[in-house]
Amino acid sequence: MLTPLTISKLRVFGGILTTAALLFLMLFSLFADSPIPCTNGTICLTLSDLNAIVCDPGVQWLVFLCLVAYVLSFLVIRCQVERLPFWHATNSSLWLIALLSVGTFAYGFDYSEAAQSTRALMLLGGATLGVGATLKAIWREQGARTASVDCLIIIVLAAALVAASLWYPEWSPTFAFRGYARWTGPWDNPNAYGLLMGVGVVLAVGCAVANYEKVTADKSEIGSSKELGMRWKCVVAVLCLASVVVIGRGLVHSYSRGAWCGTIVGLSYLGTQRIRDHGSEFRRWIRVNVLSLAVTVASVLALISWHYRSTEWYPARRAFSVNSTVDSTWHDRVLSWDCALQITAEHPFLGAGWNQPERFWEQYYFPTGIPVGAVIGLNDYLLLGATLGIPALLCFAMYIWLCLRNAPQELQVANCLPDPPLPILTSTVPTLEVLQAICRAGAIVLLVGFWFNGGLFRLPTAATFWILIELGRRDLTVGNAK
Amino acid sequence: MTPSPRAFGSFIPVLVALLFLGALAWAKEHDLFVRKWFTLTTAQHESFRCVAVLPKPMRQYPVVVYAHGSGGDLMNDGTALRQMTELGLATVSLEYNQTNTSAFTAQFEALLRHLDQQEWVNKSAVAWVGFTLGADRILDFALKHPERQPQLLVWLSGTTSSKFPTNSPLKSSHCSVLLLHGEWNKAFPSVHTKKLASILEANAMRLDQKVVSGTSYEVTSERGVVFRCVGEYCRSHLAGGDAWQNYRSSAQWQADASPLWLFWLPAGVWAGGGWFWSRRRKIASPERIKLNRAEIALRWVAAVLAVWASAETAIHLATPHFPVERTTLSIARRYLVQPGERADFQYLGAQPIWDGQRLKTLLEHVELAGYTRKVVSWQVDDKMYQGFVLSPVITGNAAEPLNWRRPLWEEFYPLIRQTSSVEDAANIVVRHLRERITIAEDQNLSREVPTIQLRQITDEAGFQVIYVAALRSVGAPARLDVSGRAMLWDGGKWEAAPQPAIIHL
Repeated sequence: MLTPLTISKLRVFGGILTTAALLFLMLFSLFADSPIPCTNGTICLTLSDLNAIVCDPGVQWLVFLCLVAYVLSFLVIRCQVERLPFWHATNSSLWLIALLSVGTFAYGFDYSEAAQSTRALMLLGGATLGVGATLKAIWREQGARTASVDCLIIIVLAAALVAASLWYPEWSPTFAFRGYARWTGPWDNPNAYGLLMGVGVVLAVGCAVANYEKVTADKSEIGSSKELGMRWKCVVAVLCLASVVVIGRGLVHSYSRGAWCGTIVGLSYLGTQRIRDHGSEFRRWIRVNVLSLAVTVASVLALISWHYRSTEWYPARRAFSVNSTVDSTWHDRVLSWDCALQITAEHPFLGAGWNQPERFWEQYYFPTGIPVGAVIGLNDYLLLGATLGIPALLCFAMYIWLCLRNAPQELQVANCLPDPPLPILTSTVPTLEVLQAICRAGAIVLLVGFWFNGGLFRLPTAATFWILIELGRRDLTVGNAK
Repeated sequence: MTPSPRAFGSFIPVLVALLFLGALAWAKEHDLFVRKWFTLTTAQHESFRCVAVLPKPMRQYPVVVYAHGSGGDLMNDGTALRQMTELGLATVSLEYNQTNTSAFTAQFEALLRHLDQQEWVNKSAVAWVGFTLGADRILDFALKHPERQPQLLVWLSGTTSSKFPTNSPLKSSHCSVLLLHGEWNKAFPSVHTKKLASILEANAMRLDQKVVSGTSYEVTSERGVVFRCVGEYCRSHLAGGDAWQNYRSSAQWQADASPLWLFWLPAGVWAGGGWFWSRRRKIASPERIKLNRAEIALRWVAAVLAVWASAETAIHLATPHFPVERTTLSIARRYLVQPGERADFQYLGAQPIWDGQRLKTLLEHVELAGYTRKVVSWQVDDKMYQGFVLSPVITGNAAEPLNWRRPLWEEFYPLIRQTSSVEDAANIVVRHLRERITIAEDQNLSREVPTIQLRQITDEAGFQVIYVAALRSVGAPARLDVSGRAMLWDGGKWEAAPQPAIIHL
């Protein structure tokens, strides 16, 4: 017969084990498809075996079925915990299930073509990981969502991205453009690297701001125990700022314009979320001067772009290449968007099927005679529409919208709940709402990047995106607590 | 009072949906083709996939039935089909059994039966085009089923003529046949094609035989040109004497398509309505907000910067639309031309050719020629560059249009940016140009570069003119010689520029 104490210990042990498993999976997803040859025999063998399994059409369906079972179980458990009406249009899980159902149907309908790549697997695997991550976070106290697990995930993710930003460029595949080496970190693509660095910047800035806010909040309650906590928070804030510098260097050297743009949007979102939580005086100042600030920033950008569009300084030239009349990459992108829209228009309901748009577009849609690259894979939204049809794209858009929309009243209860006993983190754990805002900002970086660079169907970016969007969901409620 | 978050919540999704649907409608509207994927079943209940690529608008068209070569499939037929569809032909391809001739016969029969029932098929204008294995299969089918023969059969790089008996007469035939093969076809030398030609001629078939110079068995390097020319040949044969009178090019189609902003009008209306609604709901504040000094200063800074940025933007965007005059040249020299391009601008602006031309044309020549000169692998001295790369004058006619550089540069520069020599670039340019432009023998065709680009048809002299323009757009010094042929500067001397593998069939 198990005593209550034993049960409690088992629960703690189980919690630690599942958290460790989750973190391992997250890090594995982040670095599993790294092209750098590994030196450790066992790891190398395991990775190559795993790669062979997911790429082999003979067994890929088994992996796919397992993931379907996992994600369905996770979603059912989550619905039980959240106690939300499932068949409600505002339930983001419903839209996610609809999207995955369409994807699964298309996968099964034309398996021989779908199994030619791991795209379907990446979509499903990423979603499974994301749903699993939040499940861990909300299940801990039967519906009481805790901030410390979220915080741990963010810290580990940010630390992994800092480590990736310190990767020697010489270790990575060469990716040069007009004589400038584009850093790729431990990945094979500078755009994926840039996007992940953008996420890292936003997470690090968010953590620094959250800790700084805690320091300023604690100043009002001066005491000996508080002072120690304040110092520790200051140290964490400084570490976060140092991380911003390190990751930011990687971001700049990726020369990925989509990542730069995503980072700016993510930081802006984070800024607006933090301003909303600030005192009424600051909010009033912003509200009164927002137009002046916007005009100033737009004017400065316009002036800089006209004056420096032919600058020899490469980062600036890259940033303002949208305004350049001799930059053809923009032209190629627009052409590929046009092609993807044409494919969607011809297959509006069920799409062309997994891996079909890439095969179709060069032969049947892209202007003949023009050299094609992999540009169609650069816009995941249009690729999703062309692959699975407009309903699937609508499901994805609704899911994103519901995850990001404002529902602060639903979260106030969660923030009142006590933090769980994870002593290392408790002194620096920001509130759940702050953590959610940071996660959403990170997810927004990737959402913007998916428009310009793609990444929804690549393991490192997809896993990061799904974890962040699920952790940052604003529609996540706590039924029991209510 | 501002709109509630709930009300605002539905505003953005609807706006995004309207933008997306507008873009979708626009993409469909300016798409050149309609692609129809369908599956047919033979009498032996064997199903196979087919695709039809049709021009727009939907009406009756001459039809080309295409059988791909050995190892080919529908997914790789698209470029060939589109090359021919651009010429106003409906094209159809089938995924046929490549190992069993009788299975092919059943499939082809099923396809022909299906086509007989389609409204878009002009049944009196049908051609069959076969490539390598497909050529043999359709020729075999045509000879065994004379009652189903099309008006034209194109046999492209087939291999099995040696199997045809020379002594026994074939079944009666009435279709025209074009035999086409590569000059360096080692798999099937031209002597065999001649033998096949003699057999077919002996059986009262109207025959035409052509050789594609400088190509192998599968005409790999010139495939685009070959299919363009096959399409032209089919159109000329199927549409009769005035085949090219009503020709509407793909470039013309796209130029006539409605612009995107028209499809985004509903989204604009929605956005405008939302803004108006939010303004109406806003209740004026009972007391005026007092601004402090910093806020007032910020507003002044914003206003000054906005005026400055607007002025700069207007100079950059509006000035190029004015005609070339002393004033506009002066503004351009000061604000629009980069320091490294001023000498070229000075040289070109001083030429007496800009009467009535817009400044934009001059700026495009200077900017694009200067940029290309910097990035291509070959060197050109200043005199040669100014005279035969930068200069927009090709024929020297007084009414010669000069605004050709940007469209040609956008089309050709991406193709040649990896090439190392001017000769390689010229080969790529002439091949791609021939894939896009039909060379006809009509005397009334335009020889002006922008018109040729738009109509995608000209005569031989016009082709040489646009060829020189295309070469200049990629930074290769080029001119016309006294006979009107394109000449290329190879770094030491002028020599005849490479000519297309096929002028016309």
